[in-house]
Amino acid sequence: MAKPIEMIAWFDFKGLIHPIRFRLIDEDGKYKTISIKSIQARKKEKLAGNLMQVFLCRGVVNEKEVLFELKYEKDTDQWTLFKM
Amino acid sequence: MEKIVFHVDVNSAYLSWNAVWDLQHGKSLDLRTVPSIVGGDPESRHGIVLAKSVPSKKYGIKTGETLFSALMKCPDLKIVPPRYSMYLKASDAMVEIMREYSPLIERYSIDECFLDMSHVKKKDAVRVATELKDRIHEELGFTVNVGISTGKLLAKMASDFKKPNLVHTLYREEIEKKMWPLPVEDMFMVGPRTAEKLHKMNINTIGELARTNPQFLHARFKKHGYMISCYARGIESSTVKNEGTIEMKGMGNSTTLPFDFTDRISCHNVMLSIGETLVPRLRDSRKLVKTVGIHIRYSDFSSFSIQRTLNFPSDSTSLLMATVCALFDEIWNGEPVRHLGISFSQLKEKDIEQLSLFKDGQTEKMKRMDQVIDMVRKNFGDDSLIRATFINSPVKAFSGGVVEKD
Repeated sequence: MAKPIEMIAWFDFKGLIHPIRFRLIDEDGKYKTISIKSIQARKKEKLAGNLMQVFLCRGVVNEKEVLFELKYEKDTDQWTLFKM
Repeated sequence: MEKIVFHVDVNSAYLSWNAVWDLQHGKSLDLRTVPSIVGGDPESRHGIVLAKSVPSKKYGIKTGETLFSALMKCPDLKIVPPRYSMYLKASDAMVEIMREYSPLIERYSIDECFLDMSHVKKKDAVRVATELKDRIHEELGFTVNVGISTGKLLAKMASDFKKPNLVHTLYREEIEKKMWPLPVEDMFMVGPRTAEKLHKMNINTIGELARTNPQFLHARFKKHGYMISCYARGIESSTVKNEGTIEMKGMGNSTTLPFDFTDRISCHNVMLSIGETLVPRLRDSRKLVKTVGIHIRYSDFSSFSIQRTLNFPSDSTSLLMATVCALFDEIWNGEPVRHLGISFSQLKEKDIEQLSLFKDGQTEKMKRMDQVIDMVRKNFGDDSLIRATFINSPVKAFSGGVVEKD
């Protein structure tokens, strides 16, 4: 799906990134905020030399718990909601 | 001890890199699986094919042909513009992995490298090469071919055998079996022109070239004849040179005219408009140019080029364009012109400059004017400041190939 999102994240002493909450613009053109409950897995990828961090997260959407994948691109500092 | 050399060659480099980038950014279509090419501008359909996918080969699409003719062969062809900064990133990442395998790496081009692997035993070479190839695939998402031999030439020939994602060896004892049956145009340094001449001499395979008397080849091709004769027998002794960065060897730009031009001033204006995109690019990369060349293609598709070496390297738009126009006047035969191009070679570092005693007083003034023009255009857009000659002219103030857009 690859939807651009706005992110609040926390970077710890060691440089580890903890995404906290993000928002996106839904079909009606309204902001929708989603909080991240936990991070299940994280990995770095370097496809074609482009560094990205992938986070597998758990959160609540429409009162249902869901898994989604977020991506952070190092060179552009942009976040994307990759899969949900 | 005999050397071991690897040649690593990225399969359809530009196209694979574009494809991997797209996938990483969430596109579902893998460009490598459909007829697709990298090159030009998909909107205006202007430009040439820089790289092609494997499925587009079935349509007979060739690297270097125009987008128009490629679209004639395959109307559904997917066209993506080139993104050089991304290619450089991919290439750097690949070299970073290779550094774990060898201290001696020669970056032959953006997508080809030679590795001196003499610390590896011959019996382990294929295993190590396969590991390297698989790691690049796994970590960076694109495939490469690795050629293994005892020298650069044979390693390069080997990586070209069968694609994609394969490791091949071509040791001395395998030349006869693996290289000699190949058509002579597959030989390194045998271009289409040489191949055509060789065919006329009834030399059709690399084996036939190897068995031809070198003196006979020398009579026809001079020094080049000795060289290809040696190459066909696998004789070549250059070593892998440690080169960390890819030097820019030259830059150029060209444009096909909307209709055939027949007057000198319009052609000069076109040259100038190509220069207006090309020379700022030169200044931006902090280089000076020593050799200026131009290229004219007439409406009957015959083409001519000429180049001239300047007394001192320069990056001044006015000075370089004066040379370009002088070169044009020298070779233009008055026929209708279809296509014009400028090329710069022998690029020099701007930081090291040979000061000339014979520079005219204008030089410093023009340099400062170029700086101001570059700055105005950067801040207020390219169209904010154009040459007066382009007012009410059919020629656009800027022309030539694709500029990277993000």
